[in-house]
Amino acid sequence: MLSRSSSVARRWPGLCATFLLLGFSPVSFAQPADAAPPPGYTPAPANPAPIASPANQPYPADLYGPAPEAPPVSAPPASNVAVVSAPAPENRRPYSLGVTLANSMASETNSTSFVTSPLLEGAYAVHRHVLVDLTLGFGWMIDNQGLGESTFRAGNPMLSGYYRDEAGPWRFQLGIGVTAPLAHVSLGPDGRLYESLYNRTLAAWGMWNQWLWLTDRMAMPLTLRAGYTFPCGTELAVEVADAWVFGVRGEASGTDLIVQEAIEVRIPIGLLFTLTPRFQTVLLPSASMDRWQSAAGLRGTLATKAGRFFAGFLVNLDEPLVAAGSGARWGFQLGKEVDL
Amino acid sequence: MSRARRLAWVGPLLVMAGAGCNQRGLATCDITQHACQVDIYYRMLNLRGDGYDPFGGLPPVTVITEDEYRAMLLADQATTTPSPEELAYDKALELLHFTSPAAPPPGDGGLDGGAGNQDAGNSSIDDQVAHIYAFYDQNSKTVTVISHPNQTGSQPILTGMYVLAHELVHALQDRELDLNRTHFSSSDDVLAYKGMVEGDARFYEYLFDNDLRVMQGLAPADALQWPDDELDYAYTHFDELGSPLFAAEYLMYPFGAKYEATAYRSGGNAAVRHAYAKEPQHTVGFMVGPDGRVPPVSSGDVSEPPVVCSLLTTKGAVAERDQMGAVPIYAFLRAWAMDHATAFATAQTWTGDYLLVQATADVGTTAVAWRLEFSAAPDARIAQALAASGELVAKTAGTSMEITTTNSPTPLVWEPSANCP
Repeated sequence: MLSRSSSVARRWPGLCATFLLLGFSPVSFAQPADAAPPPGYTPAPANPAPIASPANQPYPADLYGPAPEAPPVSAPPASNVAVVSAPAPENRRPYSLGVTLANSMASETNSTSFVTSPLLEGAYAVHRHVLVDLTLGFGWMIDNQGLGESTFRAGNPMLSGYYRDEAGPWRFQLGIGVTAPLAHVSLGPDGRLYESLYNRTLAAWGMWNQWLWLTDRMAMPLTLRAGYTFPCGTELAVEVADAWVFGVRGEASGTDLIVQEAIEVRIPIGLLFTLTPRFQTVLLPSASMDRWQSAAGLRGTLATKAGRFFAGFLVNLDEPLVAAGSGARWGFQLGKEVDL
Repeated sequence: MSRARRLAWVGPLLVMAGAGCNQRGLATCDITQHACQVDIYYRMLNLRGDGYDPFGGLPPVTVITEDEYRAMLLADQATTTPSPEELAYDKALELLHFTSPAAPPPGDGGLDGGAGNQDAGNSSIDDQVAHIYAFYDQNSKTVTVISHPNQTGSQPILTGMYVLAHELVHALQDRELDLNRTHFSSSDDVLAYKGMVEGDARFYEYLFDNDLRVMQGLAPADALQWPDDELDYAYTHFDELGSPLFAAEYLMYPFGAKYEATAYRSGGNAAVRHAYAKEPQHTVGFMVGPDGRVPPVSSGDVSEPPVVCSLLTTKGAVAERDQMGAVPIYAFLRAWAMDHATAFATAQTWTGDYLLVQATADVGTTAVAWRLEFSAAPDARIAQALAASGELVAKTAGTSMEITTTNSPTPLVWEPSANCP
């Protein structure tokens, strides 16, 4: 079986070589055809399913991969033909919870401040092809004024529905969501703290899914994600989202369109680890000066029996975030993905 | 993993790190040009360290000529029709010499044509046209840059840059504070708010100005000391600041900047954000002396001043009440020939004041009673100086002082309101 996998992999020498040039080494197709698994360990599928991610984060949803646990000892070897070998429906949980902590730090003259942004996500599969997702994020800024002076605010909760399907090595996912305008800056003496917190939180995500953090606005995002899994197990995925954003509270008014696009490559390394470089860019609302905000990121995901855990970072590559200071350049993320 | 592969890991990371560390340079530029406006705006974002709101963006910036600005000021002037209460109040300030004609204010543009400040003091329209470089209008949320084609050389360019920087801080504030706030309980309240708004803009203007120094090849200065320097200059050149009311308004800029500089020195932008949230509610809270002592801020509650009973019963009579606050009292005392040290020390002990203006319906007769209360007995020389010209009557009793004046041709009698029929 592995020999067939290797022969398929050889049809894509250019792409896989590209990844090698980047320094990423997918172990799965580097194994010899007749490689034996370690003693006491049953071979994993030759084409491990792509990592499932929370739908509303960077490294977005691919919510229909198999559960992340290592295959049970008694499990038969997975087919090398099927790119995705979904487990039987009765073995799946219909719901899953995930959490991501996005963090950023700003070191400025005389001060250091941290922003951490927990993003909670729950997903429920109402049908094999239909998923309902609820996301709520928070922002918490702690600075050198002490924990008692920290600032905590809620983001905009979002309810989303996703339709997903697959065809051979292709996977598609179409989603629509709506947010509630919970994020709010009350104009007043505390306004700068709140504004700063929301802006820094946006930066920690590279402005990705910014409707989760925009104050006094609600949004209706439409997302489309397409992924192609190469026989070597590497997945190339593209995501595009458009969102109409409406001012509904406070001084916010008018309607604007936000567009975001991302491309990422999920590279399995070994049986349990996946490395995902990503490039994303966001078309900001019309009031912005430099309207494209781009960021690059890297995430490592470890599949365990308790779920998929990840850590990664992104760096904002251009203005306006780069111009906004040290706290707006880097974002660091860690957490547990939604697994269904 | 081979060495080459290990290095291949490092390469992309270094590229990303390098991309994330680039920073827009600052260069001398013409603020009427969009690229210059963007450069300054980004620099202010960086100096304030609050990140970027994609919905904020660069506020609309309009560039107008001096003639267009003059027409705008004339139109504003023509549409202002004061009410009888406003007329009586203006008359009272005049009787107290708060708004007496004075030398024009320092007009280098750095005073700001900032938020809500287009009608600042007695600055004439000519002065404003000649010296205002830019202003922010919180109603239209627009920064207006006035083009001064006849002002050439590097200094007007640099001045224009830091004035625009100041106004762009107002644009950023407009997402944090209520710059359209209209409900103020008193002049003290207004000026305290102004101290926060303008002090913030002045403070970051100073940091930006320091960047301009570096850009010119000069050594960076201690910009955190500049508010003190500005205050010292104002104290020693008080007679150049214009009327006492204008001087009080002007002083709120460096007072507010000093408040923020003190916070910044202790904890950078983070401390400034928190200082913002704890802004003084009375101007006395800004009056930090050279000793660094922050005067205690009381509630501002004060006993009623005496009234003219006959004006209480006059048909259509007008009455206005106000609390001036410590900074206007400082300016008032300076205008009545008190030295800086005495005036400042007295104002620092302010616990409250109550200005009562009574006038006939036609505002032909105006009577003013002003009660000031302090935490310590005011210097005896103050009452003497105030009464010296005979225009004011000043009485001190313990830690309070009552000042009365009128333009009535016949003597008026002030007495406690409880005595009125």
